[in-house]
Amino acid sequence: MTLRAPARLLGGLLLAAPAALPAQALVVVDPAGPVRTVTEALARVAPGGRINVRAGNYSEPVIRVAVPVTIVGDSGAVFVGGDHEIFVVTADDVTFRGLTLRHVEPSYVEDRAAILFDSVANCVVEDSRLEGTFFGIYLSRSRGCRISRNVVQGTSTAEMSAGNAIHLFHSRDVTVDGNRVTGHRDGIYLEFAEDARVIGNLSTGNLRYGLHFMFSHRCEYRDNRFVNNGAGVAVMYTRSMLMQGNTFADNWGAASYGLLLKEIRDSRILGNSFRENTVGMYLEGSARNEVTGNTFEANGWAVRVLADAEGNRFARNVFLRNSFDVSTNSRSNVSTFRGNYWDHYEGYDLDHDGFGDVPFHPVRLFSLLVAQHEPSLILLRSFFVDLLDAAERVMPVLTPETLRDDRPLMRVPA
Amino acid sequence: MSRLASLPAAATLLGAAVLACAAPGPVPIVLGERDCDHCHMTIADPRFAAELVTRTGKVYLFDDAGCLATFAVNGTVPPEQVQSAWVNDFRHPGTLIPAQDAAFLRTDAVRSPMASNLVAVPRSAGDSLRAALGGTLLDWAQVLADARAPA
Repeated sequence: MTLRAPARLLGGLLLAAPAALPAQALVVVDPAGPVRTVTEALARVAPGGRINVRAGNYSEPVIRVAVPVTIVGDSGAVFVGGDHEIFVVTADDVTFRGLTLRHVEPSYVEDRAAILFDSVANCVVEDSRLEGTFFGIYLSRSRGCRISRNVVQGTSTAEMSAGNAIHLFHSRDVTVDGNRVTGHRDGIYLEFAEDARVIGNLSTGNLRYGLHFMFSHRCEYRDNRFVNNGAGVAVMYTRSMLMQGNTFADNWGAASYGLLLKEIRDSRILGNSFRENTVGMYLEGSARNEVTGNTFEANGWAVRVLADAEGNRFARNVFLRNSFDVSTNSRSNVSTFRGNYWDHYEGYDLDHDGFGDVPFHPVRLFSLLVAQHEPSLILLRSFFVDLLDAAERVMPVLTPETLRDDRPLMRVPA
Repeated sequence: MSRLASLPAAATLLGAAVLACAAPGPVPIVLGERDCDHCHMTIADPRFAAELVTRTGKVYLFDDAGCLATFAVNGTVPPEQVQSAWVNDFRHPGTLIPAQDAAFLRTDAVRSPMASNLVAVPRSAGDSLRAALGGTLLDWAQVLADARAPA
């Protein structure tokens, strides 16, 4: 008897408190109410439940998502930020779908993002649209996430830097696929990310790189297009990468390139297309990489290999209409070229085995001169330079004697 | 007479030539246009960009004060050929300050392009920046000494 009265009292208190409302599997947010904000909906939704956001403009203080939940926007559901993040997620298993996020102001101190995932697993952002947000989607110390089919559109200019559209920091096992990213510092940036997959994205019009890896091992990127960025893709201080089937195009500028490799080891670069870049591919301090079946077309320099790049193997690549096929900065060479197609090759194939009978030396003497004194480039089409190149080809004196293709293909491989 | 008349013209030409050869100095940085002369990354974040000017007026650009420091000690440009070194004021990007007049804060609160995580402000603002962000304050000589030390 003495026990029941406090129990009844406790029950009454629980009923009176809003937290005692039974958690709902589905909460609808609507500008007309009764639930008008996502913050309020998060207080009501059951873990693992769903929040549906009806069309309307929502401007809330930072929305903190600390329970597993799926937040789905109807067409026309727009979140407007300000001088703060829009969503900060600290729970596992959170999904965003079909939202529009707008306007996150730049900050000189913090990497302010539209959606920040902080130390979570299994997050998803899909079919959403981000406009004018400083950083777009930011994953910090997270794993097992997927970022799919979003449009992230920034506003960077030559005067004003922006953040990165999709940014992974200390994260692993993340898939980034089918996104369109533009107008940021880097389209997609990975720092200390491992086992990431970047597939089928379009990255264009970014100030620095379309895609950028720093200290990120065992990642792969396939079938992406990197067009008209400051430079295409930079992969730095990284090993065991797979780069396959990508297009690097229209990266023009005094020092622009399709693909910059710096301190890259044991990676594979297969079946990519490098088209109309100042430099197609640039290798520095990179070793034991396999470069196979790529097409280099209409670049200023198709491939620049610095002398400190060792043991890289080039095979079955196609070189077409490049001003320079290969250039280097030294006579010593420790990369191998074998069985590539060179449209500058003028040899013959008497035994009809499909390979030229005399080696091809892809480094023009003139490219060495240009490497040492860039303004001499103005002489590119002059008769005297052609003469120099021809003489050097017959008797290499200054160009790397070992940098040659002993089995140049007579035809573009199928 | 004609010789006399041409005097002002000659003076103007001489003046123009002198102006064109003005003392070497830093240049404005256009983002996304130039590569760092040390690490080759494209310069895209004005907060961390830096410059080194030689006595002959050649300007080297960097995306990170750490790249400037490494370049300054690695001998590509001999020390006696260095006319000046410049860093951006972290709080007012686009405003260059001489490296020797700057306070450098090495902090985990921000991430610079090449992970030196060095930010620069005028010396008078060093203490307030450290109070805001945390980290270690250095002067230019210490930054250079760190760059000389094997990593």
